[in-house]
Amino acid sequence: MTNAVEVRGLTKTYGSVKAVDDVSFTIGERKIYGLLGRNGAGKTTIMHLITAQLFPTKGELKVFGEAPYENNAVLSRVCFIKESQKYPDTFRIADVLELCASFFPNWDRDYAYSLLDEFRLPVRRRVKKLSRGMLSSVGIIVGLASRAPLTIFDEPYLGLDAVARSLFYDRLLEDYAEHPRTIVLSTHLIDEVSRILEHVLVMDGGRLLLDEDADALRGRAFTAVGPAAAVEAFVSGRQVLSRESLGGILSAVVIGPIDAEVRRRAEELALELAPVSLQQLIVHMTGEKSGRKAAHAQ
Amino acid sequence: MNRISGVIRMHTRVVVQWMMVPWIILLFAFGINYLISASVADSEPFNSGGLASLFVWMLAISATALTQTFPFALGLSVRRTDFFLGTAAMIGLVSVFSAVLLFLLSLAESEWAGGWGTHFTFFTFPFMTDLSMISRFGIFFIAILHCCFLGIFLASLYCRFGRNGLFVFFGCVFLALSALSVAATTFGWWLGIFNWLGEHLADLALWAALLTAVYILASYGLLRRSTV
Repeated sequence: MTNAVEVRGLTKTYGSVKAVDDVSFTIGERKIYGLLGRNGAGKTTIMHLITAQLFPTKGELKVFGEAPYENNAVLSRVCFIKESQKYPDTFRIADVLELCASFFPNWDRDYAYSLLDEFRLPVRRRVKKLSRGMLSSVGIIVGLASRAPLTIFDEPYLGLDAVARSLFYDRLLEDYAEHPRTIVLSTHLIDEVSRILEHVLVMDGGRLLLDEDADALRGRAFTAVGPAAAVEAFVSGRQVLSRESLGGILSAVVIGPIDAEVRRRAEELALELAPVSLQQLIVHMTGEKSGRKAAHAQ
Repeated sequence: MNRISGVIRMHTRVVVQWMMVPWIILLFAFGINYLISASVADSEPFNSGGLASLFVWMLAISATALTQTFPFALGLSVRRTDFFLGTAAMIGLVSVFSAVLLFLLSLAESEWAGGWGTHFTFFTFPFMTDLSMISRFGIFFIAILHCCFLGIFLASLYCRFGRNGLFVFFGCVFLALSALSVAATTFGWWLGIFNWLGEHLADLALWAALLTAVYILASYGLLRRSTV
């Protein structure tokens, strides 16, 4: 089985700014990936590079085993939904959906129109006149109904309300189960998507910070809360991502799984243990310099 | 092939713009010119030059169509080459359609009507009456094609280098023309230039065809390296 995406030493510079800096990773087939990171981390640039909408400065890039640039064998299997997608001024939603049939071999017209109803989109309205949330819904419908073997969503739900967002997650999982394909989701709303991600790539400052299975990542750190002295005693000799103190109470994010040894020691010191959510972990890792060092040390 | 026809379908969704708008504008220009010519007592035959509006509009619409559809097409995973071929095909079709229409109107004007009421001609250039039918159609076709691809070229320049690209390009064109006009004045070329132009008016079509080919190649080269 070839990989959907293979990237080695990928670099994209704008003048002296390194938007993407020597990044290497592979994206396997038929899995849901999360590409996470702060604004300006280089997520969107990477996705533009994968779809040959931007050109890399350096490095190797293969999509389905081939270079994507001007390659129909690759491009016809890729659907990239981006937040900044432009549409011709005169186009209506119906125009967009009808044209998708020409470019995505697996396009499911009936499915697209059923989604249109669910997201309550006015099919005859010009795309130019849509609200931000409706515009995002159009992208989501195109992304789902295209059924492209590699579907990439870049911030697909800007302006979407909570109902529409959960509708998106539900339909994505349902359709993924019926038509397995590689899905890459880039987002800030990590907690919302964490339940559907199977693999996580975290970027920060143009570099790849983390490339790990989502389940493994969930058990990678925990929080210990208790009296400051007890917590300090507990964390000595362990890697600490962050400390927060409130009065005499200290809360520390500690790297490592919650195993029997940890439980026993915590009980001795009367500390409370809690798992760290994916979002918290990533915030700690990308939020500050110390977090970055700790992550690299891993 | 399927993807190229998809690009053509993309353009036909704005076909009203492609086809109707320039012709509506042309009809307005014709109407206004007709009124003016009718109100001028002098019956000296004249050509209004209103036809130029068609060519300017073809240029503007080609440029707009390209800048609007290029980022959209790329977003639908279309190859740049396929996008260009589809766009060029669409422009070919539009040019043939417009040239045929123009040819028939000019024929009606010079052969059957003999000018509109008061000796004013709109759809025929004065030098055209001596030309064969083929060259008359050819000149219309090449003139329209030339304007469309000039628009495509400028739009491709914009897609590739952004606004600054257009500034630099027009700056260079301006400088070159200034230098040429200074040289022409200094060395007394103006008379020669105008005489040559007057004698070779119909040959200009060949030069326009050559220029069109240059635009096509340049646009393709620019779009191949354009990003969104």
